[in-house]
Amino acid sequence: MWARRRYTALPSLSTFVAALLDVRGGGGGVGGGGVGGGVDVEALELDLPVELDIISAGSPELVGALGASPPTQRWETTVMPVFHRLGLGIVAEAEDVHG
Amino acid sequence: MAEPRARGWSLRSFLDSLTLELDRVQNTLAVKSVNRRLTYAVRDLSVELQLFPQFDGEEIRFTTARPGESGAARLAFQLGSITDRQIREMTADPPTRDDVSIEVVDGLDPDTRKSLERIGVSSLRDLERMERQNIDIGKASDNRIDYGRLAHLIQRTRRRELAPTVRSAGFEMYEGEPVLTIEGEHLVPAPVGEFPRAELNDEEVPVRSASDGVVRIAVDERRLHAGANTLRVALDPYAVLRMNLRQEDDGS
Repeated sequence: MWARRRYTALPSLSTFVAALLDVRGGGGGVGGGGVGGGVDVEALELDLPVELDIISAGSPELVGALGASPPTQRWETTVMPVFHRLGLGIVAEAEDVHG
Repeated sequence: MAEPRARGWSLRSFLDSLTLELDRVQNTLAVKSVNRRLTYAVRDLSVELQLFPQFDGEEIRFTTARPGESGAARLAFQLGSITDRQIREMTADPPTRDDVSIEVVDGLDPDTRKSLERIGVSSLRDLERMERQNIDIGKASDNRIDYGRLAHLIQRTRRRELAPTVRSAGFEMYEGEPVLTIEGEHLVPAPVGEFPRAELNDEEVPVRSASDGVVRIAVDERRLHAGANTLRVALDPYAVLRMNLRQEDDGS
């Protein structure tokens, strides 16, 4: 008898995209600052394969939630997951820090 | 044996969920920007999906390809940022308080509703706009819509949302003759054909004036019976008032 594989739901698409937008991690420019300035990331273009979870909301024709993640497996297997593609254009926005 | 494919989702629903997820990202960034000088935002997004479309003759739905399946269709689309001004220019005006959405029209069958949505009609205002431009709704919908019946249903629903209310009724002299004055709201917002009309004890009596707040009906006291009298006032084809008038014996 085959054991049922337990699927872990993918993180929500918003969580995934927000993680991609965390370009500078804990803060600080890529090239650091110093006398004469430094370098920082102004824009990013991403094109990556993703696995998608499209979860129904009650009735099958309504989409309730979207989950997304980079490929969840590294090894090529006989039956591969379906990979869709996600492209993101990311730009830097300077904000005033209040307080 | 292959597992039967489940009923798919609509593209509109998928896009609604996608934009909702992006709104959530924006909310997260708004909080983050309170403390961070530099944040990053999504300028545009493109998605390419491996799908199997299903068409039932009216609607297209999709299911995502499953592991091991081949021959899936590819659906690619791009989302870009738009300004408030572009949104206002490209989308229909939101419904106003006095407009009637076709979704709340009683008695409208689902087929007619879908036919109307396909030709871009979502409210009474859209229908009136097409009428002003002399567009034949029946022809535009391949004769699926009976415009006369539709207009009747919409007017009835509109009247229900602006139902008449009576605040007071009393006798007075108006331009030298006795009248019954009925005061209230939404009585006769706009005259329709030969309406309003009134009957006292099943005999027609003249309506001297009618407006949104006041209706005056000529009542000859000699027509009043001792005791109860019935006055029916058809304000329009969809609203009828029925009042019982009791003549009190003054003891003389």
